[in-house]
Amino acid sequence: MANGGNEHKKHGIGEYVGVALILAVITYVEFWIVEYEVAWLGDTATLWWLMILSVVKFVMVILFFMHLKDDDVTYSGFFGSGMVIGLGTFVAFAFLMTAPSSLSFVRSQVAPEGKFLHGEAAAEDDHGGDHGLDERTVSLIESDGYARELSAVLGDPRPKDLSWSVAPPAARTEGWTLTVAAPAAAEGDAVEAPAEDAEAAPGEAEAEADAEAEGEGEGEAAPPAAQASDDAWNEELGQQTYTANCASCHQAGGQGIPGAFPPLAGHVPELLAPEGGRTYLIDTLLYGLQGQIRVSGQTYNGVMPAWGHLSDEQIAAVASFVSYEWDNAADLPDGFAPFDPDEVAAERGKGLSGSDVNDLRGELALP
Amino acid sequence: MAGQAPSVGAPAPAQSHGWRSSTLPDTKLLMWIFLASDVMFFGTLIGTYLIYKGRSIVGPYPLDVLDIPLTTVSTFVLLMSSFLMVIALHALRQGNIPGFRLWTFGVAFFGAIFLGFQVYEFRHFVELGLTLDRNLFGTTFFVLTGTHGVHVAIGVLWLLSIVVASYVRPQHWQAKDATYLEVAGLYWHFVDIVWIVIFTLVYLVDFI
Repeated sequence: MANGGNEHKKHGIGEYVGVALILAVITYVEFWIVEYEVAWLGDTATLWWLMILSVVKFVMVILFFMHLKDDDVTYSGFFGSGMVIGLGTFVAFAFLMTAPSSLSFVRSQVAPEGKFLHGEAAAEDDHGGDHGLDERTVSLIESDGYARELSAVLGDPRPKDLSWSVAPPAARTEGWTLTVAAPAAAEGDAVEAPAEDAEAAPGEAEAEADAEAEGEGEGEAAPPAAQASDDAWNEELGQQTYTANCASCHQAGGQGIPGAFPPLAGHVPELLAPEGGRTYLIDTLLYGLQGQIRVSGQTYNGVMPAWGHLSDEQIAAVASFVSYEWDNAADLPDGFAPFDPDEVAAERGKGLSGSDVNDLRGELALP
Repeated sequence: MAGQAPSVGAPAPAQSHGWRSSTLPDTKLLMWIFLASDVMFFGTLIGTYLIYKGRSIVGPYPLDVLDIPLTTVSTFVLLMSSFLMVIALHALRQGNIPGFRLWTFGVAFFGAIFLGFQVYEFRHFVELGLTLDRNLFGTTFFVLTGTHGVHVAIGVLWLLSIVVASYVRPQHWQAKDATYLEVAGLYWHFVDIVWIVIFTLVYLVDFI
């Protein structure tokens, strides 16, 4: 207790007020640096400054408010050990997660280039000059569709406005082509439109951030209005929509990735055979799917995102596409007709969740 | 007397010191040990957030939803609550009971304001389509900031219970009992420093 008596003599109100003021000023400086992007301070320097300021605040609170400055060293010892173990775990975890996976190592052995992903800036690309976009084309030798490969191309943090599109190989020996378009100069304000506005984005040169998820780059802009076809269904739109949105998980050949993403080849006709299978397929596209499912004897327990921001025409076309493609057409139930955009429109507004869709799946009599 | 000693097991003087080599208050030492474990807990959550950063394949992305001015204000509120916490402890050590009650209540009040900001933020994010199961960003963001929010909520309840207890049993909340308030304060400051890290790594860094 005598110790405690000394303690509070050392800490006057003045010291506390001083520390609080410094903390407040640092917080304002941090806000100011970020909100009014300081031009003369590069991105890297800004990052470092933010880290330093944050560490200063952290240390000041510990030393002066938590009194570690004058308190028994035992407390610092315990807390310091926790910090070291916590940081060490983070470093080890980060190393494990960012190290090349064994899968990509195997692939790099297969690819003569010795790299999983390689690319070159193509400044003279014909799209580049039109919109002041900095466009890069990258070959993906083989893509498992994960964004970690994309971020290797795009840099991290990723540019605020960019769009990308993926094109399948023209020949078997060629790789996939990824086209990335980002504004040449970074712009000021960063708050983007919410995801609901996504339908307005296709076809615009400066695709919004969420268009990136759909892969609707300006290179393959296909205004839905122009797709109101005379044909029974729009195969081209279906192929495009599939390639841009679905192929990264379900793969170009519809075979999926065993254990991670279920196949569509051979499976879609199974879904369409029972009563309600047709609306189930549309619901899966509009609302996504979550939970455990079984396909061809393999169990999957993942999440398919909702694609409700795509247009009725796109959903209908891609549903027809996966129904006919990869020899699925041979197994389709008798009297199967391509999906109509009106069918999709009728399923909207149900507000289902991915789990609800999985419940619907349970009601189907699947093999 | 000689017969009693074996039944007690140890002579009285030795017992008063026991086996311990430390004279530190148990409650305070235990709080620091708990905080050391909580550092690892939050370290894992922050690490998970950072490792999955930029890997969401569908939006909304951080830049679509995060609001720096709003979060700066709530960060400021939490920092100032830490300031009130040391003022409350200072008052109790001086024997200033009304001051101790007022400032402790002030800490809880500021904490409640911070929670209000967080509730508003979460609701707003859900309106924008960011839910716990929407994408990797949603999952890691809500688990991290939600866990922090739970810590704040526990702190608010703890501090309010101290204020109530100081009225119900005033004899237990005098200058000699300052260690108990100090322990609550350590917890509160810890919640504050975790937020300092989250504010930088989750919010500010995205907008560089």
